[in-house]
Amino acid sequence: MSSSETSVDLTELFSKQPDLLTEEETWKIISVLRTARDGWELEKVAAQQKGKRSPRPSAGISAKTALKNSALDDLFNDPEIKSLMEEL
Amino acid sequence: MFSKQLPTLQTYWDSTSLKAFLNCPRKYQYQIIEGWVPQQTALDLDFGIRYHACLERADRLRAAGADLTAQLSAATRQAMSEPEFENPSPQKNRFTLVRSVVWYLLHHANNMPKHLSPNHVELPFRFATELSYSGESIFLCGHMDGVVENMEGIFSLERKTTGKTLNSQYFDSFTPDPQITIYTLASKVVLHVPAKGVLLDACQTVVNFSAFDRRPIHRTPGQLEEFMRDLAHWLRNAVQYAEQNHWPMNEASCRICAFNRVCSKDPAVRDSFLQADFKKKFWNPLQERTSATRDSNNPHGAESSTPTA
Repeated sequence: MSSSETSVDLTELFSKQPDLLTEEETWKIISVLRTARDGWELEKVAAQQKGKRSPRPSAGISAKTALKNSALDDLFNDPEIKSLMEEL
Repeated sequence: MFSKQLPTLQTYWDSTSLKAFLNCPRKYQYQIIEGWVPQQTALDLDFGIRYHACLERADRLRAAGADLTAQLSAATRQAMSEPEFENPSPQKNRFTLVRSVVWYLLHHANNMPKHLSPNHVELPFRFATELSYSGESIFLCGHMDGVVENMEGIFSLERKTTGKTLNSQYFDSFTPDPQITIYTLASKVVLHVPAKGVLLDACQTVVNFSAFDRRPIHRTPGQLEEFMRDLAHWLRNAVQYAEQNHWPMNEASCRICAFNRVCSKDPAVRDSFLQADFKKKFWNPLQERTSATRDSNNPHGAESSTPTA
């Protein structure tokens, strides 16, 4: 549950005059916020796990170097360059 | 909080006043002596004061033996009992206040700060420095959120709300920091407890979530002595500025100052820019810390509002 959904759920209670808030309504607020917090914690853990599983550059090679290597591979695989290399 | 003989000389200094003065005497003049605050500062302070009040309610109940259910109920009712902020932002408004209070109690449910006793919750303090002006002593003062004990020892408790990420960079920014040093000193001098520093209990409040972390910030006896030596130097400067009624601008601090848009104008037109962009809210470190702490009452001469710890 996102915070925006939570605030929609609580709009009525938040617009009520504070001293008219009952104990039951107070606990409704706490309950909705607890659910929102549980949801946020789950999202946080999922994002952390996703971060761990995502591919990382090999040790010692930065993303920039990897990009350069990839560009060089393309260059060396170019037929014209290949034939030139063979002539050399 | 100001001298009876020299009305622009502050005789009760808290960390907010001292930080403003150390940052720039002109900023101190605008903010503390004349009571001008930018809108965002007013919201940050109001939000922090309400957050403190709600958790103080929970602290008092817990110190008296109440369980988490009672703390949650009382703190939530306290948070709900106040009207919406004057100029709320998406990060700081009545909803994010209630969320921060409830989430704090849930987050720390099994790891609440342990107060030394029920009397060690929310402690206003003041103590005299060695300095005086024409017979009037100059004091350090403030409000501790409590004195707590953990496995490492005794600490003054300080709760903070911030929009910043709670990482090492955030916690490292409190060393050096006058508030941490003054509170450590006060624990020793006023409360006579061997505090090792301040337990910083931080809450990051952003639009979609509130996050929490708590770390000890230490001060050594040598650091405390050094602070008192430096403080005497700075306060002597404050006396001199007050006597001359001239608060010089520290132009090295202007880039990150809210008063930049005033000080960057010609001196002849600065007042109109202050009136247009700022509001008057006098800071009175001696007043009890409630949401009404910051009102438009001029604190010059009003120094009997809070009892000494």
